[in-house]
Amino acid sequence: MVKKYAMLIVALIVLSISGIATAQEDGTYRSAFRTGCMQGPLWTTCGHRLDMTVLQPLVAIRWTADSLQPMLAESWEMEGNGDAYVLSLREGVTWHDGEPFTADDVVFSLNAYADPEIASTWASKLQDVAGYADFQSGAADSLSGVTKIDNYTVRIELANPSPLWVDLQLIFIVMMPEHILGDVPASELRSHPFWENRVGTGPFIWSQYAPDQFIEVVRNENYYEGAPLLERIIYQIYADIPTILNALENGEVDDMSYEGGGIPETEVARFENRSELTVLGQLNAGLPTYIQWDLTKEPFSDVRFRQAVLYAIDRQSIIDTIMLGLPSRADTQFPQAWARPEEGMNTYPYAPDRARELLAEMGWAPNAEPFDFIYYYTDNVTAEVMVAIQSYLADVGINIAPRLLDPAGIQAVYSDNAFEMGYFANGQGLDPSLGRVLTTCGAQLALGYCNPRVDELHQLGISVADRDERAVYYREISLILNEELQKGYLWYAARPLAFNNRIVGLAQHWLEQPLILFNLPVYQEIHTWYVEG
Amino acid sequence: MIIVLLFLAVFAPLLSSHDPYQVNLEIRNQPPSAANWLGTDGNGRDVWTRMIYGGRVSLSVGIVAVSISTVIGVLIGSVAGFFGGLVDMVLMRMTDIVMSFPMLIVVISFVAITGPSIYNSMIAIGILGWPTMARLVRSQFLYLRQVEFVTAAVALGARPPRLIFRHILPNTVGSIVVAVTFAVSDAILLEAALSFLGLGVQVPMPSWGNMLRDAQTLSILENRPWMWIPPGLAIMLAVLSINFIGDGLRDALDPRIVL
Amino acid sequence: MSKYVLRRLLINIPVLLGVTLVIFALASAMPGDAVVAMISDESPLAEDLIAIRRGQLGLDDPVPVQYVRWIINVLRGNLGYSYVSGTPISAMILDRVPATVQLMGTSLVIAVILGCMLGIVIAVRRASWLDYMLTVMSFVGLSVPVFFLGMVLVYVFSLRLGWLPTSGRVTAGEQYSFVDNLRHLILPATCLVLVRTPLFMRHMRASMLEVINNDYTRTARGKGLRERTVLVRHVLRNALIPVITVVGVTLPALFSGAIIVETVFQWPGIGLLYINAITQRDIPVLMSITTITAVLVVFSNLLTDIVYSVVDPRIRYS
Repeated sequence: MVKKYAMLIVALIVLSISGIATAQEDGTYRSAFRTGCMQGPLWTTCGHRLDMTVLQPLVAIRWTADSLQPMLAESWEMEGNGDAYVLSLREGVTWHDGEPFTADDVVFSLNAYADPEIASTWASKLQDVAGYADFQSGAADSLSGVTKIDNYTVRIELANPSPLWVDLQLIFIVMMPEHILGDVPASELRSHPFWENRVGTGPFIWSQYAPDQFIEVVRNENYYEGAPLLERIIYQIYADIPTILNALENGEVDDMSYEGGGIPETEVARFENRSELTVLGQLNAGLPTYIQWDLTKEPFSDVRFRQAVLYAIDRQSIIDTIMLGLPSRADTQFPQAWARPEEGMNTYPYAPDRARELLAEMGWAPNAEPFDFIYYYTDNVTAEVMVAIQSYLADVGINIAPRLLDPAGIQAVYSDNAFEMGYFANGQGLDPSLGRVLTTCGAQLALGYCNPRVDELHQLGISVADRDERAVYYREISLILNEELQKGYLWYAARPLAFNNRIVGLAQHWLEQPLILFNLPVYQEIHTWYVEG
Repeated sequence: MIIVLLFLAVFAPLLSSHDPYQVNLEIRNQPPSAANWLGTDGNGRDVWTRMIYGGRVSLSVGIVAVSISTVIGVLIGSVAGFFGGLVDMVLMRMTDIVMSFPMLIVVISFVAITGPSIYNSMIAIGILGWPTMARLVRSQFLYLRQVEFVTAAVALGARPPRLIFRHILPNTVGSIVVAVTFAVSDAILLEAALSFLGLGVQVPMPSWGNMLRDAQTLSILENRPWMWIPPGLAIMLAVLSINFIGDGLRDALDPRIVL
Repeated sequence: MSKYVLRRLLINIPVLLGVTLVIFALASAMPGDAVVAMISDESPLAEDLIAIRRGQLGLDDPVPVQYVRWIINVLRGNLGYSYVSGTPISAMILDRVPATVQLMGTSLVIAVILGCMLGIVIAVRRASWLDYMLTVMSFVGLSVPVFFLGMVLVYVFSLRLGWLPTSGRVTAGEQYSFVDNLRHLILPATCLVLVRTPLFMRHMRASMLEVINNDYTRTARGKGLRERTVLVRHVLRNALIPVITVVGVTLPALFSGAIIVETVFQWPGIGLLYINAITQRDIPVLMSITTITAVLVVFSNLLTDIVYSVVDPRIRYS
């Protein structure tokens, strides 16, 4: 009996080896995609890459992050200093089911994003549109500021004028087909089967979805920018980063996804050795990483304590050793160099004695009950960073107890008002104006911080379009935050990615992309990519 | 062997001049040397020191959790198996209920209510672990209570406690030992899984399980075996020695087995 | 016997109700809920939107009300809809069952057969070099967390030798082929076999040793029966009882899967669904999976009890 089974096992192994030919058939691009990103553009926080291939925005940000690409809107005109915008839609575009794309779809989609019953995660991107407040409060049943002029023209009026509205807000909004979803009651939209069989206008047509396995999209021969060269894209779904790394190394997938973490710093060298891959080890994640604290609580409310924490941690040393030099040190919030002053910022060099001095000044005695210190990245590098921070702080008499927690757990800690400290990051690669969520008086993530001057400067920052003029405001904010340490700024994270050179266009576009743009569709000319050979 | 491991764990401070929490980023990832017998980890901490301190956590998780589950499991299993009928029905349905509890949900809620700590995970692992033991002991009792020497003892008028503990239980030691061996290794590894989910031992405290978890990258697997071999070996030796102790115990309690 | 079985079945109804009640309470006690779990720090959601969404899902109601609403639906045969995706849960589960049954079934069958055989062999040849070797080897498998074991297997067989794919159940987007499926199955199944075989092997060996020196075994030997007959007819039968118990305890995993192995290998089964539902606090999905598991626990325990009396007719229940 034993022999029989041993033989069976041997037979299985032989069988499996004989089938090795993992022929990468022509025309297929296999892209890594994370679990839990299937909720559709209204709610997803990580599924936006799908939105550039199937569903699309009116206007998209280009991969170079410095200009816009007209998509479903061919052009737009600004009235006044951004009081209103008139969008001219591309004519002759059809949805994948053959129906024409018209202004009705635009009106429907904008209203869907703003509809309180739909509770879109991105509703706030439309908060400047006239009628948004009334719609949200229930006083109106649609956005009064959005009007259809004719089948291919839409006018959007802003209650809060800004010359940057298209550049910073509209690019988040993805178009959905009115003829399919228009009659679906708002509360049922989320569970509509559409999300598992999406009909869009993009270069690829939704083909099939296998839960926890993959999404397949195939070439749209009628795409308005020209039929894509790739035959299909298979988004392979992964729950865990190490699994993606293995698949990438083994050639089962062509890229590393950027959502929720990239290649751990320690593993970058492994991939750099492989000739078939292009590795971007130092890719800027546009992600200020910081120690967050509740400023309404002692001792965090004392700026001397916050400064002591930064003096106590040898940030450069952590960057150079544990993180292998990949991130760059941060002294303020904005990841954009143009938003930071060239001089005048305190760099908080490693100076434990200075930290002890500041603590002594405020009468600090080492805390017996350590502060609850929350973090949420599960990788080994983060664990090592936690250990280092804990050790540096203990050295000056500040004791913390690091605790790994999932997002739901963190939200519960916030709402119980139990939050003390933690290791956090926030994606702001698109523009410094995104940083408002962290500092605006009363905002949840401001955690008790309130400086009216910062709020005023942020408002000024979006009142002009010229970057040099804007920079003046953001540099002032940078200085204020550097001084007050609303967060304990550590570094601007790198998110190392790797791309298989088999797909021509993939690595090339990423090489030109200065930083990662989270949470919105990015135009990368995917219809021009092709498989080598 | 287990004595040696326990000894190392208990007297850890005497056996190493290093502090298990002493971070030194200048000497991270060093291979074994005279100063650091088993090298250093990614934070420059001494692996040997962390391993013997980690033994405190892992062995106490294993021993405490398994003691809880063994005591409850053996008691319930033997009573149910011995008396049968209604007693059996009630106790075994209780067992069914506890067996149906999903470990992860229980631990997450438990930790949310009581706070994350190593003691809480020990208790949770122990309380959820007993039903397997109970069913195992009961199955042995069902079969043993009608074997000749037991029926003979009953005929001689032996009372239930004496029957259970003197006559039947010693015959189930073999199975219990095996179950305990597995329970100990399960508990040690479960602690690693729980730490990974942020529910067990948190950084910077070492345990064998989370030392292995911290070594879970291919670059460490390939280039720095001193980070994963010691904790892996320690778990293996612990489990192996518990098994040998159990075997010895069984032989001591069962005069019929002649070596 | 049939009366006993009938009584067990009846008693199981309140038992299962009790289980669902406790699990519902525990699941609701997890910090955070399905609405806040969707929010990340990178995309905070306004308070009023959170409130509206909670209202739509009925999360504002007291937990007992939520439980009653849930259990009534379940009794009507409706497992409900996922809080996160809105998909019917019955469909979500049906999608994943084949993967889990394939993985768990294959590995359990191999582990039980291999474990029992090796257990018998080393019990008969107790204290031989074979016994020591297999004992030590089995403890290697036991001492490594599955996530580590999985990594080592992938490293050796996929990345170094290039024999097998690293993850998934089939090559995504390709025409289904059995060979392809099998090649994906080998590593995760091996991982589970390595962990579970020692379990059955050690139990088999221990209970064989219990029985091998029993009075009636010796009587049988005394009667001059051949060693082989004694082993098969007397020893093996009685030694099977603890092994059956352990198999019975493991059976529900056929459905509930193996969370860590499914995660490491991206095996699209129930374990993966379950761990995602936990992080997303998707209570209806969690409740459906745990309830089905509970039903299986209860029935596999009933089944093992019946098997006891088949293996050893002297075991009777009243």
